[in-house]
Amino acid sequence: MFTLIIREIEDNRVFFIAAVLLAVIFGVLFVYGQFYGQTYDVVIGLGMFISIPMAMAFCAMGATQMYWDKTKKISALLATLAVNRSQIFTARVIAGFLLVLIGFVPIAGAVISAVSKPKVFLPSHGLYYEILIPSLLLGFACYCVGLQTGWTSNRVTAILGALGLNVILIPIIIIKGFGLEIYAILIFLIAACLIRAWYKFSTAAF
Amino acid sequence: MSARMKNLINVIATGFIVMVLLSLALFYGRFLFWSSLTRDMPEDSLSVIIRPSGLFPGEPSPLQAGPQNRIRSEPPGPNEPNFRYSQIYVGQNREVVIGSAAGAVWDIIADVFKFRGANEKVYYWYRDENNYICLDKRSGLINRRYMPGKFQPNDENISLNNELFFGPNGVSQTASTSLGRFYDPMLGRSWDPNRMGFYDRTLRRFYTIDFVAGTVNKSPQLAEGDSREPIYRVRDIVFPALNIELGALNIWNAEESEWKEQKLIFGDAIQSGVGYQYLGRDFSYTFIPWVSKTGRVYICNTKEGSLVEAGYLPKPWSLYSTGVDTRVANPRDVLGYGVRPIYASLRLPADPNKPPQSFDVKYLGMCVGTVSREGASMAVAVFDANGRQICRGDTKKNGMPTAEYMYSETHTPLATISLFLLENLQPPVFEAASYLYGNCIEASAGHRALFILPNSFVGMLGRYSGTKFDRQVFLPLLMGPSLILSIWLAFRVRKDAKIIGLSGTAKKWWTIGTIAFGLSAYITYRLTRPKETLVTCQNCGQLRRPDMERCHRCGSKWEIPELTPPNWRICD
Repeated sequence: MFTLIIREIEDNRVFFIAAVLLAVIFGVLFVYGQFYGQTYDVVIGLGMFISIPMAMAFCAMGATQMYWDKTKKISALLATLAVNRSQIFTARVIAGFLLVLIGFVPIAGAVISAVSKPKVFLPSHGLYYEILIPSLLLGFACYCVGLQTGWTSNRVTAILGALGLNVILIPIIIIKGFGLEIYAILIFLIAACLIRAWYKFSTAAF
Repeated sequence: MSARMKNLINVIATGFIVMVLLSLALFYGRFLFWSSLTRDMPEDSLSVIIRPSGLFPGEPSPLQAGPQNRIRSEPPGPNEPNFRYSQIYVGQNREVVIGSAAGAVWDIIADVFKFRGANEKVYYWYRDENNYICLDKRSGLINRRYMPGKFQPNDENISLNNELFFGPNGVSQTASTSLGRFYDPMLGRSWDPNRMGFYDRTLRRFYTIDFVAGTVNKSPQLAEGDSREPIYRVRDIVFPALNIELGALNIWNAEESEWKEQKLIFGDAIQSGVGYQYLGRDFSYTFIPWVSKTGRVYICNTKEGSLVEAGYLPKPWSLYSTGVDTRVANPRDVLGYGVRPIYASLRLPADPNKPPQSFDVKYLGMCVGTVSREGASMAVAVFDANGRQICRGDTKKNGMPTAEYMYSETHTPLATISLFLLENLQPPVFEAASYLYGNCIEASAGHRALFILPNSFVGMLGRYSGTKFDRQVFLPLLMGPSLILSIWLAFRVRKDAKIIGLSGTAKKWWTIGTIAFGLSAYITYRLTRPKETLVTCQNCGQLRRPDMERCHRCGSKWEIPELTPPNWRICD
């Protein structure tokens, strides 16, 4: 399983390198801000600016994984080795979740801490988790939606599908806020997307 | 797990994905048209002016209530009396109403304002580390630290007197356990660095703290589950959906060509000739107004320790209920409310050159306003000091209630029709739920609803105040397009299911599902239907599934040609 995950990371190294770079940049900005101040605006502005492209990137990774599998028959090849499709799919989803964690958590953490820091009226911890967890779920939901749109051999359909569904999905967090409703919707949506992706993946004829 | 079960789970999962994404897409469309209708409402249709208010001594009862021009500075005409009545202006905050759809913003505001999850100290007022008022969560005491000016290390002004700790049982210079502790103070707008009034949900009492005098007053304790218990809606405190402005009594000074504020003279002050100043705020924090969960408004007099009913939230009109309605609106059923008590205050000592020691405050009455669920109308009621309603006003335009005007007059019918059609793309089962249970959803949450829509036309019909017969006549009309679409889609699904050879049970469930869930079910069907390429049946000549043993149309088996070996052989 570990080997499969490493292989998924290697196959999608562009996304991981970009996520690590962003995490480092935000980490440095945040640490710099802790000691010298003045970088909060940069962190907040950059974080807000980058959040939507980042969600798109999560979706793109999901779509890429499935698209390459569909067109290059990667899982068909791997299935000839000592692994089954469940393991391949699980490794794929774990790699996707890792990307979301690496890409999302440091940036969101830095932004929320930066928002909370300068004003003594703003609480830091409660707000932090209330925003962070639904945002993380949304990032993962975008990835799962990408798994749906990527299962096609037509590149244009995959790209447009991913783009369209992301445009529809991302504002849900602005509409629903950070209450229980968003947790329920996103968790069920993630579960539904994974079930459907697994069903398509496991029943596909190669 | 059997293949059939797997397929069923896949269909349910796909259906959920489709339903969420389709509902989101429809939400954006509906929001676009609804906000366009709201935005284009004329400014004067979003306000109510009541003049005179009838609350000030010597003033007649309100003669006029309704939308008028908001003009307050013009000099009186030649036939007008040389006296201007007080005025109450209630205006709707359109941006707040439209912004109700942004739940994230309200959640952040609520969190920040309530200081939920904050660290050990919850700051109510903060200037610097030596000047603040905070609730210390560990001790449960309110700590006021105040050190004006800059001090030298040996400045004698620095003393422990500058730091006080306030608890339910009193005040102390040290954080003593004998002071008791506050648990969950609910602060409204009525506080400042000198005084604050609040309700503690756990202790079920109102408290007034005078930081200058160093006193703590408390009201009698409410019983557990008391219907008078206050509700706490942060958005009505921070960004209310309506503003209530009170204009004071003015007299026109012809010499200086300007309005002068008229002091209020009460019976006990006639001898001295000292006039009370009209105020929209109680600087003594003697009175704390609050709205209970039943929609009744109470006033707590913290000095006398009394709780008196002072008014109620008037029920605003909606599209299908615009008649005279004297019912009390539940706070959950209104998008926003505003409560504005009116006070007359006498500064003591009255000499403006001396610093005020205290205020003598009289409660004159209050104005209460509500914004309807849909944000299309507003109701305003004025109550006198005894809690008797003396006037009610509703938003109107061209003599028509704004709840009707918004959907009929503001635009070409395009926006209204588009809104109606988009609502009808929702599954009929959700439309029916909107009609039956729309009221159960809190008003502002209704603006963010994806599935059950309390603010849809069908949802509004559910709140219709007329006869049941009228409702039953209107309901099929409003749900008609949705039902027709669903039935047509169900017909298409059934036809296609027959062609591709689904079983009778599957066809039945898909038909029922499509009638119930409409477009969502149809898209789900298209995404999950079997995708085998059909072949021609040799028996009936129609298309049949190659993966089934028998033709699903004529029931014939595959005709397997008998391979009999020929009698001839090829020889070299």
